[in-house]
Amino acid sequence: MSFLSKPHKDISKLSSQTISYGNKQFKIKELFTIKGSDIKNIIIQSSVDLMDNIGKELNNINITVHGNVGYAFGEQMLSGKLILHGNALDYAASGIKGGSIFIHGNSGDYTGGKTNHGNIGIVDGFLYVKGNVGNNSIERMRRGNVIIEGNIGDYACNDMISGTIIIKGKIGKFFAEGIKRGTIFTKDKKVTKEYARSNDAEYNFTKFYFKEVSDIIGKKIFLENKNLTRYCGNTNSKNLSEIFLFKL
Amino acid sequence: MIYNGIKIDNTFAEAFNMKASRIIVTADNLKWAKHACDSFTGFATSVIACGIEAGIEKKLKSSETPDNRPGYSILLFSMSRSQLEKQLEVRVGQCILTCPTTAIFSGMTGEDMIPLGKNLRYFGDGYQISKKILDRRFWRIPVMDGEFLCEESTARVPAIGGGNFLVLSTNRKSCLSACETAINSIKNQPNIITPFPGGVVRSGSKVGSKYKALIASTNDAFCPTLKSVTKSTLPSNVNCVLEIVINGLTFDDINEAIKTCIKSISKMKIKKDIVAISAGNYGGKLGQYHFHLRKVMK
Repeated sequence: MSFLSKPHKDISKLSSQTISYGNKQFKIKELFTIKGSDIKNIIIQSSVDLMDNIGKELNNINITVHGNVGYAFGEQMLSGKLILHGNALDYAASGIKGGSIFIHGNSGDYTGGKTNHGNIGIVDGFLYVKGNVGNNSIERMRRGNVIIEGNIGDYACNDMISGTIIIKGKIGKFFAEGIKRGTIFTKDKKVTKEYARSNDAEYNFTKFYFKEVSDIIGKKIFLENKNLTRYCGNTNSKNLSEIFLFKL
Repeated sequence: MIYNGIKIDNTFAEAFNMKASRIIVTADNLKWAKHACDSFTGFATSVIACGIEAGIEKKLKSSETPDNRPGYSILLFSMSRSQLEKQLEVRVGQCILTCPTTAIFSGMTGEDMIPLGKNLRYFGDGYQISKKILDRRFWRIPVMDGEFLCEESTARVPAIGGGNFLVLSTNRKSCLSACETAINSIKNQPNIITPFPGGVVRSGSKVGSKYKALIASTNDAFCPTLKSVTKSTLPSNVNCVLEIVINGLTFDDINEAIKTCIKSISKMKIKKDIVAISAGNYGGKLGQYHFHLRKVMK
């Protein structure tokens, strides 16, 4: 389904396009209902066939999907907006370079991490997941912003280079191994084990950041201003990341 | 033309192309945001010697700022693109960064971007942290009260400077009172500033001087004490002239501001002391914009 990322002349031509699925050929309209008439704002309804690669290398187009999707949702996206009202399988938002992805459901393993054929995680962009995220996610993140309202699995945020992450739910095992820089907001105190508690200085960044991401998501990320405790300075001197601990 | 009892001279104000930018300064409270902004906009009355012309555009509520803290927006203008860039950076570094609790953000978008916190980040001596949200980059610079948050760049846009009008009065007290009322009437108007002290100029100038080293000198045609010794434009009963200079982002912004000012003066009880409203120009050959007072007041 990566062809959706490329410009088409109009919706009716897109709907009539023939693709191979499995060992058969289908017209798009036989698999999905595509609504609307704006070719830069594609709305896919009743997606029941777990199609892979929707929004792969997406560039300057918006796609909204109602229903569940398969692998590599939004992989290596460049710009534009991908919205999913459903769940995604593995490798969603892997290696994205720009744009915004909103998953109003759960997402599988390797979410926001390396692609299954490369070694680069999120380069830039914005990822929001309303539900839970699987294992090995947000690996080798270089820049960008990730907001996860649910839980995240094991081996998350490994080899993180920079960027900002908010995880409102629980964090699995082996979190942030090999992390170099970046900012993590979490309520899970166990991840601060090897960090030093920073002082209680005022951080102008946090109020501003919560407001910005709340505006992008379209709802308040936290119901009220959080009291945050900052941890910075790790027993591993190469780890210059910071963790803000909050209470829900 | 008589507008609500006030004579409007048949003349025009001559204004010029400039470049402008807007920044937003926030702090823990308005008091400290104001300290920072007063410092930033100090010594920024005229590009003749100050590098830029700057002023507070308006007060911002917490809900209107990027970090939900109270603050102000500032507009700054310059004739030169490079001077605007240089002055912005220097003033942010010396006046905003230094002030307790402040943060600074871009106040406008555009294709032509200039550094705001981009080079200030080096003050962090390697401890600074970069944050990018969508297309905007910010710098967190550690300082003694916590952290200074600054956006990396802001936009530079075409603008207009030198819109003006003159208040000709029988006495200084009424003249000043009229100007104060005029300035007050536009204090919340967006996209404009009045860069001179209190918004009012007493030393209006003309191009040239008998002294070769000076590019400008006193506007003797409007000096009441020189009525008998120069080619004065003043009626015999005028004893004080004050000028209000308005810089704005567009022609319509300045037009609206001039109109609002004159309207407000026309509602005052002391308007009987106001002999006329006039304007300053250079014969119409230097400036790209003309604000004909009678057209403005129609």
